[in-house]
Amino acid sequence: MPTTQSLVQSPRYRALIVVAAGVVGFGLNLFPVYVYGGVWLFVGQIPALSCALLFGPVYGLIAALGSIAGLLMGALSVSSFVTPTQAMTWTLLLLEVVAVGEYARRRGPITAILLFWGVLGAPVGAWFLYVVRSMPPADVALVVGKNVLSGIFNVGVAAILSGRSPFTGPLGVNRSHRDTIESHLNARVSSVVTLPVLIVLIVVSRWSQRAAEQSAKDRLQLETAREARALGQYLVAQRRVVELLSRVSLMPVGRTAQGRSDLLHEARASNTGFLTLMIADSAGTVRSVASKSNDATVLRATNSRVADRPYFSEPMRTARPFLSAVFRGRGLGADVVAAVSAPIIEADGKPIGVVEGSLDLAKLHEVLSRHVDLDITVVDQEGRVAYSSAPERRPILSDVPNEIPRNVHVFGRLFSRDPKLITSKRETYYAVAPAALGWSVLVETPRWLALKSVEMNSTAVFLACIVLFAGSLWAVRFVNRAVAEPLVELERQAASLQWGAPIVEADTAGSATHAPREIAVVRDALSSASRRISESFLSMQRALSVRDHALQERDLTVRNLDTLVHERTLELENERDRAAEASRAKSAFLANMSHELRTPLNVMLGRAEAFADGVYGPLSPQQGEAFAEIDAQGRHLLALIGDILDLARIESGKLAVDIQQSDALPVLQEVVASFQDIAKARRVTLTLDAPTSRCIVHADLFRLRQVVVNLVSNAVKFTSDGGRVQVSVEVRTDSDAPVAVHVTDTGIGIAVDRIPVIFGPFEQADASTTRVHGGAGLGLTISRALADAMGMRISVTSQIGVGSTFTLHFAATENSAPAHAHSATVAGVAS
Amino acid sequence: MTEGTPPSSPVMRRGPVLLVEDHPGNIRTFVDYLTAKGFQVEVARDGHEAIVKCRALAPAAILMDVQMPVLDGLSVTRLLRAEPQFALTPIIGLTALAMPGDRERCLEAGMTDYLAKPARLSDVLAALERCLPSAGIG
Repeated sequence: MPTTQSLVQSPRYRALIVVAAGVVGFGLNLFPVYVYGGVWLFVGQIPALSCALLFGPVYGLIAALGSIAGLLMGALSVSSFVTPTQAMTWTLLLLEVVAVGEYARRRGPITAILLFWGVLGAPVGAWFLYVVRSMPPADVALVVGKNVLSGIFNVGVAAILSGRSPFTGPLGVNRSHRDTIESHLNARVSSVVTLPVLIVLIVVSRWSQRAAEQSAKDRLQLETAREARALGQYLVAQRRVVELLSRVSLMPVGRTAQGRSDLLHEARASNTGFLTLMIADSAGTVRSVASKSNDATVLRATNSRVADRPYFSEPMRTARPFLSAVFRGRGLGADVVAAVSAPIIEADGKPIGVVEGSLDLAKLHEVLSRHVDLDITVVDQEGRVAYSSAPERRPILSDVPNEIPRNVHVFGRLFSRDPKLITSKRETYYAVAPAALGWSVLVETPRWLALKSVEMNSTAVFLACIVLFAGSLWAVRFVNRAVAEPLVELERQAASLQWGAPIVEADTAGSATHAPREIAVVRDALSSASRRISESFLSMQRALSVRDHALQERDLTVRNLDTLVHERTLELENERDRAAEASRAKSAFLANMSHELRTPLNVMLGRAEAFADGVYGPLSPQQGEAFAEIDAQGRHLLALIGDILDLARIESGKLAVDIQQSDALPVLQEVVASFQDIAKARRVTLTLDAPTSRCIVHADLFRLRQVVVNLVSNAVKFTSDGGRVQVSVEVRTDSDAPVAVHVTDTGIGIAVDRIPVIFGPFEQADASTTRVHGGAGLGLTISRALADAMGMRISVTSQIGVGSTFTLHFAATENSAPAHAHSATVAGVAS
Repeated sequence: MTEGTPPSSPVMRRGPVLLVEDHPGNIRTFVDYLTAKGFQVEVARDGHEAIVKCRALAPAAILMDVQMPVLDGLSVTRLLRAEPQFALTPIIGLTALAMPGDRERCLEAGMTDYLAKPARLSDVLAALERCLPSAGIG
C-alpha cells in the first residue's frame, strides 16, 4: 500500500481505495474482535483511518461508514435494537477519524491520536462507562486505557499502510528524512512487518475471544445446572414433607383434632422451610394449623375457608401434589409465599382433604450458591420472579421478559451447542434451567463481567501485539540504518564530486565497520575517485591561479606602462602647450613691440627730416648736420630694431616662409638697382651678372630678397672707394635652375679664423667695424637663418685685404657650387 | 629727396589733403610738413571720421593709415571707392606692415599708391606730387 502514493493522486484510484476501505471495514466490524470491556472495535477502524490520513477527514468519514455499517449489521444479528455502547462506539469512531485525518496533516498521526484521546475520547468513554454502565472505576480505567492503546496502535498501522511515517510531527524523529531512501525503506519494510503482525493479531484475538466466550458459556451452563439441581431437590423435598403429612393424617393419630395439630406442629418445627402447615377437609375448611409463631393476626385461623385457593383446588382435582405459583399471602408470615400441597387420599382413591405448606422463599438463598458475578433468579411456572440474588434488578413477583426463551434458539444457532441452556440478551449472558415442579433457575451475568477473567488473556495478547509492533518498527529502523546510513554517506561523497562543492574526505575509518561490503566497495571507489578528482581539481586550480597571477602581473605591468606613457604624454602635452603658449605670448609681444617701437621712432625721424628740410625755418650748416645725424642714427636704430625682431621671430620658430617656384631674377635686379645710389655715393661699382633671362628657384621671394639685401648691403658697406661689388648668378648648363648666387666684393676681407663666427648674432669680423661701418651685425645671422628656413645654405670665402665672396647655394645644386664660386670669386677679387 | 626740390612757396595752391591717422605725433609731423609744402591738410582720426570728412570736404588726395581703430584703412578705401565721387580720388596707403603681400592688398582695396612706414616725408611728398599732376607746378 505505500507504493500507492502516486496512485492515490488520481481521483479514480482515490474513489476505489475509499470504497475498498469501506468494504474491508465492514467485514472487520461485522465480526468484531472483542477485548476486555465488552463489545468494542479493535482493528475495525484501520481502513477508515488510512483513508483519513491519505485523503483527509471527508474521505475518512466515507470509509468509516463502511465500518459503521458492519458494526450495525453485527449488532442487529444478535439484538433487535442498538445498544448505547454501540452508538457511542460509532460516534467515537467518526470523531477519531475526523480528528486524526485533519490534525495528522499538520502534526503527525501519533500526535493527532494522542491529542484526540487525551481531549475527547478518554474523558467521554470514561464518563459513559461510569455513569451509564455503572462500571467500577478500576474497570473503567482498564477499558479506556485499552481503547487509547488500541487507537494508537490502529493509527500507527494506518499511517504505515497509507505510506506515512507515524513519527512525524513533534514526536517524530525522521521529519527531515522525507523522501530519502531511509523513509522509503521504512515505509515498505514496515508494511511487510506490519501486515503479518496485524493478521496474527486478528487471528489470535478472535481465537482468544472465542475461547473466552466458550469458557464463559461453559461456566454459566455449569453453574446454572448446579443451581437448578439444588433448587429442584429442595422443592421436591418440601413436597415430600407435605405428602408424608397427608398419609399420616389417615392414620388413627390423625383422626383426632389434637393429634393432627400435634402432627403439624412437630413437622413445622422440624422443617424451617415452611412458614405454616395446615390441613383442610374436603369442603375447604381448615381443620388444623401449625405456624411459625402464635401471633393470632399472622396465623391462619381454623375453620377459615380455602376452597378457592389453587393449592386446595388443584390437589383435590388432580389427586396429585401441587406447587403453586408465587403469590402474596396475607397472614402467612411473609409478603410473598408459594404453597406446596398434597391431597389426602382414602383407600378408595378419593381425596378427602389437603395438606398444605407455605414455603419461606427467603430460605432459598441458603439453598442456592452465592456468586459475585452471577445473578441467580428463581422463576415460577407463571414466569414471575420468586427469588433473586439481585432483587434490585429482578424484583420479586416481576415478570421475566418473554424473549429469554426465544433467544435461546438465536443465540444457540450462532454460538452454542446446547440451545436449551444458554441465551443472551444484548450484552448479558443468560442461562435458564428447569428445576422442578414447573419452576426454573435463571442465571445471568453482564457480558463484560462474564468475559472479564477470561478476556484478560485477550488483553495480554493485544498488549503483546503492540509491543511486537513497536519492536518491529524499531527493528526495521535498525536494519534500515545499516543500509541507509552508508547510502547517506555515499550521497554526501557524491555531492562532493560536484564542481565547486567543498571537498569532503571520506570518513573511511569511521563508517567502515558499519557499511555492507557492497556499499563499502562503492564508497571506497567513490572516495578514491573523489580524492583523485579533488587532487586534479586542486592542481588545476593551482595552475589556473599561477596563470591568473602571471596574467595579473602582466596586466599590472601593461597598466603601469600605460600609466607611464599616459603621464609622459600628459607632461609632454603640458610642456608643448606651455611652450606654445609662451611662444604665442612671445609672438604677440614681438608684434606689439614692433609696432610700439617703430611708431615713436617714425615721429622722431619725421620731425628731424622736417627740421632738416627747413620746414621750421632756415637752418645753419651746423644745425643741418645735427639733424642729418639724428636722421641717420634714427634710421640705423630702426633697422636695428627690425633686425632684432626678425631674429627673435626666427629663433622662436615663428618665421613664416612661403616657398613657391618663382623667378628670382627681378628680385636681384631690384636689389641691385636699389643699392646703386649708395654704391655711387661710396664710389663702388655694383653690377649684376646674370647669364640667363630667368632664374627659377624654390624660395620665398620676400625672404630671398631680404637675404640678398643683407649680402649686398654688407658687400657695399665693407668695400672702400674704387672697389667693386658683383652679384653673379651661377646657372646649370642644362636648365634654368640656378646653382647659386655669388656676392663678391673687393673689401677688407675676413680673417680665416673669424669666418666661423661671423654668422653668430652681434658678431662682425672686427669689433671695431661697427663704429666705422655701422650695422647691427645681425644681417648675416638673419640671412643664414632665412636661408636655412628655405632649404638653402650660405657659405663664405675671404682673404684679408683682397675681398670676400658670400655664396647662396640653392638646394638642388649646392654640391658643386662652392668650389666653382670660390675660384671665380678669388679670381675676381685678385683683379 | 628734398635737396633737389625747393620748398613750395605758394600756400593753399592745391585742394585739401585728408590725412587719416590716429597717432598724434605723426599727425602733427605730417600737418606741419605738408602745410609748409603748401598743402591744406585736414585730419581724420579714425575710419568713420575719414568717411564723414571725405563726404564733407571732397579732398584732392587722401593719406590713409592702414592700421586704425574702429575701421581700418583698407575697409575705408573700399567704402570710398564704392561712392562715385571718390572713384578717382588718389588714396595713398601708409602702413607699418612691412610684410609681403601688403602692397598687393592695399592696391587691391583700391589705393592709388602705397608707402611702408617708416617713410621719409620727402617720399610722401613725392607720392603726393605724382598723384596730383593737374595741380602742377605752376
